[in-house]
Amino acid sequence: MNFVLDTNAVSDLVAEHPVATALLAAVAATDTVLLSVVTRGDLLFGLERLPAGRRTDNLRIKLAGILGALAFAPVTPAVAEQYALTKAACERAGGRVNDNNLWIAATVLTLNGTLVTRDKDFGLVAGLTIEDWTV
Amino acid sequence: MTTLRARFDGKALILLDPPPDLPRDVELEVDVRSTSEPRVGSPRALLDAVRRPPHVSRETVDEMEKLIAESMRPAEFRGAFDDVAGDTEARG
Repeated sequence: MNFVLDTNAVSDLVAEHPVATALLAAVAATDTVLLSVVTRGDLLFGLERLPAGRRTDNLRIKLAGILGALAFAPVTPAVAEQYALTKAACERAGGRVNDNNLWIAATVLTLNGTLVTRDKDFGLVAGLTIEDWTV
Repeated sequence: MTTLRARFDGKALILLDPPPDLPRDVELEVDVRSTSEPRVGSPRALLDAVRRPPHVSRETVDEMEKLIAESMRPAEFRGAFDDVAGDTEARG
C-alpha cells in the first residue's frame, strides 16, 4: 500500500504531532510512504520564505532528514493524463481545487494510494482515498 | 513496486514469502538492501527521521505552512481565450 503525504501531513510529522507519529508507527513495514515532487517543491519553497535564523536552520535540518527518508513520486506521463481527467472532472462538478493539489491528487490516483492530508479541498476530488493522521 | 523479503544462500535469493502474483519467466530488477537499514520510503525510516533531533516547534511549522498557503492560487477554470466580462467594453 502506498501512502502519499500532503504538505500539511509532512508539517505534522516535522512537529512530531503525537497522533500522526502514532499512526505512522502503525503503518505496515511493507507499505511505502511517498511524497510527490510537487509537495517537495512546496515545502522547500516555504522553507525559503522563512526568515533566516536558528529555528529556520533547525527546520531545514529536520526537513532534510524527513525528505531523505521518503520515497518520491515523480510526475510521469500517466500522472499528467490523470491530472487532465481530474481537473476536467472538478471543473464539471463546479469545484475549485488548487492546481498543485490537483497534481498531488493525480499522483495518488495513479499510484492507487492513500493521500494523508487534513486539507478538506481534496474531498472535491472523486475517487480519492484520504486519511487525516491528526484525528 | 513490490517489496519482497529474501535470504541469499551464496548462489540464489530465496524468497521468504513468495507472492503468488509475481510474474514468471520475465526479467525483474532487484534492489538489494539489508533489513538492518530501513529502506527509503519505509515507515520505519520515516519514523526514525521524525524522532531524530533537532525538534521543531509547532509555531515554526505553522509559519512555514502559512507561507506556502499564501502563494497558492485556486485553479482557474476559465479558458485562456474566454472573454472577461466587461473586457470588450473596456477595450472598445
